[in-house]
Amino acid sequence: MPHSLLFTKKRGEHRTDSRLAGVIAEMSFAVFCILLGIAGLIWIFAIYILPEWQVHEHYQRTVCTLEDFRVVQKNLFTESVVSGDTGQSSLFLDEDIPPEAADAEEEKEKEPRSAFPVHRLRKLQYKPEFLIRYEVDGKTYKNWTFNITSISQQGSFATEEEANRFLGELRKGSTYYCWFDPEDPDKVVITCYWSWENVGSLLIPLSLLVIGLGALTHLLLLPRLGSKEYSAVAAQRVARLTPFEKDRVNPEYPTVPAADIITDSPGTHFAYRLSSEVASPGSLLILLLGLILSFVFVANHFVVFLSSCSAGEPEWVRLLFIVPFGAVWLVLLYWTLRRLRMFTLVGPTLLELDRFPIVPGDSARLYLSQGGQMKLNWYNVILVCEEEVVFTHGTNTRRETQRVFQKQLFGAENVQITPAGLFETEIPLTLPPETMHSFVSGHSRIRWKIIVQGSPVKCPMFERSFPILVYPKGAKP
Amino acid sequence: MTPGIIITFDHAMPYLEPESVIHGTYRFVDVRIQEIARVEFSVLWFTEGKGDEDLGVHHFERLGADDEAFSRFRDGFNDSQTFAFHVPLPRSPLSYYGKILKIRWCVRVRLYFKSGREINSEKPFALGNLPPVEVELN
Repeated sequence: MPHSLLFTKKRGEHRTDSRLAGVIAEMSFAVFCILLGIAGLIWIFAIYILPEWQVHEHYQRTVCTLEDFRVVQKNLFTESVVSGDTGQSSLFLDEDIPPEAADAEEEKEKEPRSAFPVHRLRKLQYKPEFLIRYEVDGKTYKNWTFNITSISQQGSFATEEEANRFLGELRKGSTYYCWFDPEDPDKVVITCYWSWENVGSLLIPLSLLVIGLGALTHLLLLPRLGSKEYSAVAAQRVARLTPFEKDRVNPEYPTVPAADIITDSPGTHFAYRLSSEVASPGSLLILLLGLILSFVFVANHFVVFLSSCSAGEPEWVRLLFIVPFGAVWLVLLYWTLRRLRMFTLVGPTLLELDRFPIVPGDSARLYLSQGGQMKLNWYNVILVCEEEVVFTHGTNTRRETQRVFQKQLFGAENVQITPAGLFETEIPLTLPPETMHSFVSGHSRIRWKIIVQGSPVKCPMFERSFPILVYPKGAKP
Repeated sequence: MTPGIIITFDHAMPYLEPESVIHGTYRFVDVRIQEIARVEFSVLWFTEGKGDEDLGVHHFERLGADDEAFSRFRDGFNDSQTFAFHVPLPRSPLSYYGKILKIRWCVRVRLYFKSGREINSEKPFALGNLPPVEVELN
């Protein structure tokens, strides 16, 4: 079957992505980030940083007289004077806008805005402007001005009131400093400062550039970095140096879990006591949490209902909440009590193994001890082998288990257990001869375990799991 | 002609015992020594099935055109020459053909050209002689 552009071959239940498609996608991403980064840098330099730098470095300071001021209403596309003098200005003024058009513009402003950021460009700002008179080389100039930035919203106010408040602090006829371009004295500003936030905003395009260049470097170095085998070897070497990780598997038997889980606990009847997998207390905790929350909810409504009754105006509508949630609370209470009863009835289960390591085909003996105070309908001990895999599905990580072997080792009916009389027995354990050893890797496991399960009278079934390690044939103690 | 890699095992058995040695050869077809940037030879296992793939590299050799070891490669390189390998195998993991998990072994050779192009070839083998899993839930 011919391979598609996106997928090459199917391995197991997984498709292998096409290398070419991956390179194209990564290349596109890198180029997009780089272009966006460059465009951003140019924009910030051209619009914000360069003009301020020119004022700072090249403009000359002189004294001017403030003759008038006004507020200009502007967005990215239009400007119009909303208060003050509407006389000559070095800026383009959209003075020809008829009142109806202005009203329409205002109405437009009141309309709901789309999520597309164009409304930000259309958003009105109110910028103060000053008519100043100043002299350069004996020649008098008069110009409307404020700061060097004409496109950005710096020096602008969100409302006309704020802009007028700002202007209220100034007096006509007073003298102030202004800065003019010696090559073109008509270009003048009355503010000269560095907006450090503009330098900070360079971080955004710079980040895009770094991401894009990083992706591009990765692409260029990819052939030199080597194959996934090379990466796997490097990862294996690192794993051997990592504390804890090096103890996870047996160096003599790669991918077989370390023997500690068996050999760490000596038994009293046989040599090795098997450790039980700790049952997740999650379900009981969820039950308890649900019980508390539903109680608080029902009790709250019940108290308010009783208060309303005593006041002579019963709030019958609260019964709509109290009755169903009260029923839920009772069900939760029943299940929680059942679970708690299980914890008190079923005592400890001890399981011990007489020899280790064990390999396929081996025979061994188990010692089983069951405590508690209960009568069991039936009591079973089974040997199981399970495949367990972890896989990513979109952004989720999922785990799936498949039982591939199960054999009953022991079974009894009508078993009575009392605190004075433990249930004890020895059980023969024989592993099938042609079978897989225990295995663990990053996303997969093959687990052998002995499961003890019982069905107490009037109680739900319980199950306890004891992992064992099965070594490959030929393993020696 | 299309460049290629041919891997051959010396043994005729359908499987190899753990701790035995895998013998074989690989050779390149329609490849000129001047075109080779580097060669990677590995003996590895990988998982297949429902889970995400895991890869365990048991043996790995990398011969770059600038490496000294590449000289033996260069000296014996011509279209009829084959390159022998002898790799002792580990005790585990055995090849396994389960229901949602499979463990496979293979010899894999990757050839990187100076142009940036890459070709690879792999030849599977079985470590151990486990039969495919038949679910037995007694």
